[in-house]
Amino acid sequence: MSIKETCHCGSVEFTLQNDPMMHFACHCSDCQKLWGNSFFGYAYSTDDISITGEVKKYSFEGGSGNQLHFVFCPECGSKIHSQPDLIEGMIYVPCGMLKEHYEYEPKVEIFSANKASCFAQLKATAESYEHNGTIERISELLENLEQR
Amino acid sequence: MSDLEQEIEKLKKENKKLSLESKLRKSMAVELDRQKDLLRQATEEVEAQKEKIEGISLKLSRYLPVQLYEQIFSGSLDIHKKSERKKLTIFFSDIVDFTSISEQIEAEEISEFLSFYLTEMSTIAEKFGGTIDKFIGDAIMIFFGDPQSEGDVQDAKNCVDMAIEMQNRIDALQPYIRKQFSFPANLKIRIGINTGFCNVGNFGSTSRLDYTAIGRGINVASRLESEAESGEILVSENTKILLEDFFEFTSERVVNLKGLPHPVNCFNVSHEKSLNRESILGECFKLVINDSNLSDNDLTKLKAFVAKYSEDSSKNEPKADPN
Ligand SMILES: [Zn+2]
Ligand SMILES: [Zn+2]
Repeated sequence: MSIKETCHCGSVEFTLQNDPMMHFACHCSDCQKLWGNSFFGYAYSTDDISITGEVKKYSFEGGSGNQLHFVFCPECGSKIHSQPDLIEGMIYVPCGMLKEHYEYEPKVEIFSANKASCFAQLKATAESYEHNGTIERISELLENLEQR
Repeated sequence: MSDLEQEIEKLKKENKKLSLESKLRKSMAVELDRQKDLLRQATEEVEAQKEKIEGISLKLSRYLPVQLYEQIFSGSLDIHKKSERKKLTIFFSDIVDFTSISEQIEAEEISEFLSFYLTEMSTIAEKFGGTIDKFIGDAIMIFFGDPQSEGDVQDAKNCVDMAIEMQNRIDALQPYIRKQFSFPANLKIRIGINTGFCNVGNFGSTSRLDYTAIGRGINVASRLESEAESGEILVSENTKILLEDFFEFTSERVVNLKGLPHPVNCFNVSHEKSLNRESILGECFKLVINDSNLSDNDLTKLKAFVAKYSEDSSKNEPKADPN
């Protein structure tokens, strides 16, 4: 199966193959600044996405010392996805982009100590980490990969 | 789509999957390494911090009474605690003719000697549970009975035992001191001890705490110390009364102490340890045994005496006369 979606203004179009590998939330300060609040979204393989239309990329060094790349529409500013060098081969797509296709149920949340108090109890969150939860998330992704 | 094309698609997909898996595993390895590094860094920082704290604690302990130092580091010190009136046994000592001795020795050697001497004495004070109040040059003030007390008698006994050990230690160290610090004469100290009620606690402002004892009892001890002969331990009558069972007291003297309205009786303590004496004080009895000189005859008497109070006849009521 594949999903076709666009940014807010429609100048960027992207398709996603397969279902998300993981629903997760990140409450780090970088996400809060860049996404506007905590990141709520999905992990996909870089192979799963293909984009048409002009995008811009903003890169910076994250807390782990690895680069993080944000891909967005230069027209309307919608963020299509982010891509961490920390976990190679993955992209993160915000759940708002795929509202029509999935019910967002974050199983994992990371940097939980930094979240706004109104998110105190996230529905369905089973694993909550105060750190970056990278090892845990990769294990999860590997499990998901097996089922593909 | 032909079978072949389908097969190729499947293989492509499989290949992508494998490639992603290998990327993920690599990321996992990198992250594990990074975390291991972080952990090592944190451990090193903790170690460094610990060393720093230990260094500071050690420095502090040189300037504070051990008991107070323990209170501070265990968090049990209450700086707002008012001073308390307590019965203390107070000790003063100084080195005989130290001023003239120090004029004959290099300044550096003097400070080295003082550090050595005060460390030796502090070690003995700590062994007997004394609270080191202060060092004033070569003079030392120590008291017993606060923050911990073992009772008036035991506090006083600990103090005199400590004083005796200090005098003996000085004697034993004589050759070393003359050699190491080129002392011109034998090192002698004099000691004064008094027991009395004092105010003890944290005096001064909260920014500069001075845990100390004040009161007339302190002054008496200090005056006795200056009255003492070279190598002597001079105690007041108040202290002697508590310790008559444990030590030999000789040469009662009456001294007029400057600043005191009445003369004070004081006694020299022989430098013999109290180790072999045992004493029990009950409400209706007092028993003192000098273990070192106990003859067979004494022992038989003692056993017979104690046997009267064996469990069978513990009810010591007069027996009814059968007739
Ligand atoms: Zn747009
Ligand atoms: Zn984040």
